[in-house]
Amino acid sequence: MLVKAEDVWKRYTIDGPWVLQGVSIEASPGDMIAVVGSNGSGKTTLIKILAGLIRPSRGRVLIDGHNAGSIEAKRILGLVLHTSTLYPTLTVRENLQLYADLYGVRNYDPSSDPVVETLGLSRVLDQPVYSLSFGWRKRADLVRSLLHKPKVLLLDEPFTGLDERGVEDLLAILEEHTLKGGAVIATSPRGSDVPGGSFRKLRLVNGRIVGAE
Amino acid sequence: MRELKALLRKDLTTELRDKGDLIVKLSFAVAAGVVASAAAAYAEEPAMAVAGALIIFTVMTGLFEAYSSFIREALTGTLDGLRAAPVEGWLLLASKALVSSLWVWLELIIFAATAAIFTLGLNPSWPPLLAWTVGEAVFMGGISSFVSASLSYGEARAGGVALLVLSLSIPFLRVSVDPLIVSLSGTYPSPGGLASMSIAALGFTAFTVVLGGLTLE
Repeated sequence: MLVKAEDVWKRYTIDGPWVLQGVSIEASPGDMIAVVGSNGSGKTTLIKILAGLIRPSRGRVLIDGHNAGSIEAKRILGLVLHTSTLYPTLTVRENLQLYADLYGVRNYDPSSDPVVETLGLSRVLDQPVYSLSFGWRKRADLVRSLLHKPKVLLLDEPFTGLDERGVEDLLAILEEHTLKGGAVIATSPRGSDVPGGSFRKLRLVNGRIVGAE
Repeated sequence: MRELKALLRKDLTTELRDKGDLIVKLSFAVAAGVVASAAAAYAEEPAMAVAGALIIFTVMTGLFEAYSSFIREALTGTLDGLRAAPVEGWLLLASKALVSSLWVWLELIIFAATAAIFTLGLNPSWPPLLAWTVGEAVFMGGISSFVSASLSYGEARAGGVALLVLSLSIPFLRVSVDPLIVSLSGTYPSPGGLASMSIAALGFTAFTVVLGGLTLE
């Protein structure tokens, strides 16, 4: 099991409302799971808990047997959040090189990264991130999340803001990732935004998984 | 250490490319130095007047650094990317602390050089004064990064930063006042005074780097 979230509950303050209420998710190699929920349903909180950025109030999350948030778990995770985590004043190349160093990827060259090629990012590699549109930033974020060849990809609203071609390219990359034994957990505000039949869709309402679509 | 080098390169480059921030910091150092210098011209003991202004200025630089390190990264979303990477928290903090120390030191030197224009007897290149600025910069870099990391996601950061920076720096500033006054008067401070300041600076900074690193994990 690559991802195992058991009975995860979360609230941000001691007497605040529950953002997640007993969420359990399992993802095995080859799985593509889309968590679909409206704004405020807890999607981003769930992704951040799976990534180990936020601790759950109750429950636990294991990534390939390691506790979420541990260095071992982080090594096998790729994360794309809805807000870009790239440094706006650095170029795309500088951002990718930074993360290659942080993930211990030796001799990484963005110019020869096949994902850069597939997503058409070659021509913007030397542009500062602040000069890119939302869609291009999202593509660059995706390359950053894949450069260390993670087993698990966590994507918060990956299809939002992408044009048709972008969605097709992204889907091709995700399908290739799962064919190689990886797993994908993505979120989306609308089920209709999630392309194709590859994804298993789970509906999240008020912090509870209420069933599959 | 590959990670630390990458983080240092990133922290330095992003700071240098943020021209607005750079200009504000350096202009503030010049303006504060001129004001201190003008005040010192009317003081009976110019060294004492400059010492007071230098201590206040040091705290202000620490506050600026606290607001512009992890807190800014949390607001722009880049901190999530760093925290998701397999890097120990203390390395993230050490990088910020080193770069913040460099900035604080640069600002202290500019302040002292500007203050020296109108203050007779003040020599910014006087070795004991230079040593004092290094110790002060190391300390403020560590404290400001620690405070920034601790409050990066907190609702209390608006008032909490000032309160924490002030309350954590006062004990150290008290230790560092005597060597500063002696240095500004053009003599060498006692080895004991400088030693206790250096030990306090390194001890406080190491403690905050380890503790602040835990808050980022």
